[in-house]
Amino acid sequence: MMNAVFAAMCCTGLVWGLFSGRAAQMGQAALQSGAEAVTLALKLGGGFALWCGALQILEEAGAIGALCRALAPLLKALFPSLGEDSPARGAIAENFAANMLGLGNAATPAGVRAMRLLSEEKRADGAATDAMCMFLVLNASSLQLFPATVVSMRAAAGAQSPASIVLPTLCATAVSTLAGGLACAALARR
Amino acid sequence: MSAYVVPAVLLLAVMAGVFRRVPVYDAFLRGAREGLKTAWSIAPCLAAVLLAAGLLTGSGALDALVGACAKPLERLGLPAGALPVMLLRPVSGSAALGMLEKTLAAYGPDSPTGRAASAMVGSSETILYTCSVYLGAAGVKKARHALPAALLAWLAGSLAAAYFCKIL
Repeated sequence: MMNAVFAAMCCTGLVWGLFSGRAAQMGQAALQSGAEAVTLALKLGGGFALWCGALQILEEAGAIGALCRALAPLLKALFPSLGEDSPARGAIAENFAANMLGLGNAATPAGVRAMRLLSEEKRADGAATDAMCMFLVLNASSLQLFPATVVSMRAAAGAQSPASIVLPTLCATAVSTLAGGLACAALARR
Repeated sequence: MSAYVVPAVLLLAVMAGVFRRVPVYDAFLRGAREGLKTAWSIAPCLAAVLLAAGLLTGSGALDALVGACAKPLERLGLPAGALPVMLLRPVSGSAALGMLEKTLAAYGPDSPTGRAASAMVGSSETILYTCSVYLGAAGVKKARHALPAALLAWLAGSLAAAYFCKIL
């Protein structure tokens, strides 16, 4: 997929630019892009070091476990097919909690474990179950409470108030998660 | 108000660590080391995206696209300049970050466009990656309604990001 996007972006730009006589601007942009990427990676590295450091403290302080317990009633409503102490529900809780904190490194292994456990009750036709779809959609709709990467990037770009987007982002995350969950529930009933 | 967000999050982390007797300095170093590795590991992807985005911007094609979509998008409350970020977000996380950098540089991080683009990156996930990793893990071939529901969530989240940036 990314191959097609990359090819489309490059070809569109190159063909468009050559026909409108902007070869010089494109050449310059292309030659600068590598240095820009390295600069951006360094800037991001500063932000990542700060937030991953702070999050590691939270993780070692048991934040994931605390969030898991808080999520229990919600999971019961979202995944009615899973029993009270099914291992899949534990893995899902862990994945959601790690995602809410923005701990991608902890979220992915828990998510993979959750999907494997869910696939034990696979449908005969090899398609995803309702619980799998709900889990996928909620993961794809973002659960993160604090958009750390974006805040550091805005700071690096010289924003007056880098964190001014935290509240709007949180509200938008709530909307996207709610929309995804409702759509999933509605489509599953068909 | 938003000036308190970053200090508050850091205070929460350090206090929680001290309270639960975590070796806070060592833990911070472990996390920071991982963070720096992550940033460096996405540099090649950023190079590819900034090249493609640079060609699109330099050629004027992006301005033409944004200009053509401006009217209908603004009727939906979306600043047209945030469109490239919005479109790349479900495809690749680091591509969206690269495009966000370009957008912030072009429009300014505190402009309505820069704010909306920032909130869009923060409020949705890389659908493509999530689906391929998790479906692969479960050995499932057909995702049924997961993809349309995820795309709907992305669309709703992007519209909401622009809307809440305007009123908050």
